[in-house]
Amino acid sequence: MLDDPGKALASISKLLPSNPGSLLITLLFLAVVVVSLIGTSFPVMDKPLADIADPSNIEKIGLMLFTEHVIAFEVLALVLLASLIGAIYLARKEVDK
Amino acid sequence: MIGLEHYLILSAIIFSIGLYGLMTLNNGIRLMMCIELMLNAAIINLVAFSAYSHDITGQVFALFVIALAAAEAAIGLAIMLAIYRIRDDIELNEINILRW
Repeated sequence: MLDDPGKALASISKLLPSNPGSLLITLLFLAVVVVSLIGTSFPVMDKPLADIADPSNIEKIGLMLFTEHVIAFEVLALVLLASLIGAIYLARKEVDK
Repeated sequence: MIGLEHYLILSAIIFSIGLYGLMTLNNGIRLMMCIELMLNAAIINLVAFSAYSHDITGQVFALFVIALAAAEAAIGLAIMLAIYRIRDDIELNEINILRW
């Protein structure tokens, strides 16, 4: 340890970020966000949604998914198909001809 | 008593962890994990507001965001695989040309 100060410094420098200032930027961002959301009063209820008789919300989510947001649901199916095809195209092995 | 602010602060902390990783790391897989952290922080916001507004739309949109995150992970992993085949590593700081 003492006879090789370079090794000790290397273990310390591994803890520090490779991009100096990023920790400062992140802490500034976190401070701004937390202070602003503490200082904001949101127009919401005091308690979360809770129905003692029927605590599950799966049925409501499914109903809303297939009535109000059915277009987004279908478009999402197309997006997943496109990403599947794109991923297969990118990841397949080149065929030798 | 856990209020809405607690969920929002948790979400801000998770988002900041993802942001910090995105700025410091240069391994492709770790960058994608940080992007997932940021997406999940946004989902926590959606579900918290949905529960406290007594409106279920936010949870439907949380499902949409999860599906989009799956698509993003598939494309990202395929791109990492293609880069690895060409360069033999995925240190993204060295991928600084657009074609080769």
